[in-house]
Amino acid sequence: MTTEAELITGCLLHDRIAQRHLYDRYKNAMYTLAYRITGDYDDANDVLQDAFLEVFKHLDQFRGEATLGAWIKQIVIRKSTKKKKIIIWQNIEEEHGENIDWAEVDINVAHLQTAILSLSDGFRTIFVLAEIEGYTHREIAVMLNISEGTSKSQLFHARRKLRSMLTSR
Amino acid sequence: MKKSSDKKDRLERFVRDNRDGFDAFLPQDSLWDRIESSIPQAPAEPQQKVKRLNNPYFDWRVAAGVLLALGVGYLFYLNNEYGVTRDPGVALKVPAYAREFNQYNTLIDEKRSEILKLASNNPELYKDFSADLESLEVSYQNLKSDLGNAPNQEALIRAMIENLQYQVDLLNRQLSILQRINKATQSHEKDNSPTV
Repeated sequence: MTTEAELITGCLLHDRIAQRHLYDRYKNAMYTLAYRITGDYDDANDVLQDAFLEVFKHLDQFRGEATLGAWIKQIVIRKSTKKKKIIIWQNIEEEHGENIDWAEVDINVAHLQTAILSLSDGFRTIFVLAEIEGYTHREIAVMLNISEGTSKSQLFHARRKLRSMLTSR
Repeated sequence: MKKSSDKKDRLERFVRDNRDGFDAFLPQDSLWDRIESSIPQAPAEPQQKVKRLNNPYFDWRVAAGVLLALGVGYLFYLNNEYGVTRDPGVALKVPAYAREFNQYNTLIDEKRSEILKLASNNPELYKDFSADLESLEVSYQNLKSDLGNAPNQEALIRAMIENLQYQVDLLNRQLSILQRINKATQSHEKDNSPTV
């Protein structure tokens, strides 16, 4: 098993085998993330290609402050939102205080996945980053250049929309 | 308040508990080929415009052969004369200092390859070391490019040699840091190895 440090050294030395190993290690998780944000298989492939080219080109700028996976993920998120030209609208009224009751909702993976992909680009992006990838609202706000309040509000609306889709099936 | 918070968390718990089921998408098999064909082979270097020669009497293959033969002969001559292969341009301009330059350059090559070996487990440190050395290398190259035009050749040569001395000093310090780190790692591993 090649360690992350060995992979990085190999890639910095332009070793093609190390580059392939690095790609293989992260391709599925990164593709899945790109697909969830873009909602399109072809777009996700394009994003992954651009993202890994950037990774190999700028790996010398990776300072090890986060894991390599987290660093690559940031690149994939940036490329995905750019690819779809996703704009998160700042809400005039940032509504996010009310909790949503999931008690009567039948949740399963297939239906939830379909419902997530049916969300609008903005709602889907915030939901994926917050609920699936586990980013905090502060991190999302920095990544997408929005306020924390907007991130919370968009997540609230995304959840409400999801609930409505899952209960109306 | 607590109750409604629990209700809200049901979706979060579901996503967390079924994360493996969610990661079900795979990229195209051919995607690596697309990426691989676009990765630059080596660090990008400034591209220079090449003027093509279309003269029917000029055969670039013959010209390349002649140039290669001349180049090899020239290097052979310099090597015999001064023991220099790495920086023949400098040797030719300042033959009196050729041996000194050669000694430093050989030393730098040896130390760099030793550092590369020792730093294979520590890419972050290697990057930092390379960055430190790069600024010295850049200033050496700047001095070298001024060598033909400088009014005071002697001062420039001294500055170049001083730069090479700094490079050797820096490499020595980097080597000693790496040796200390590797020694500490080895003794740590030894301490933690299971006893039978």
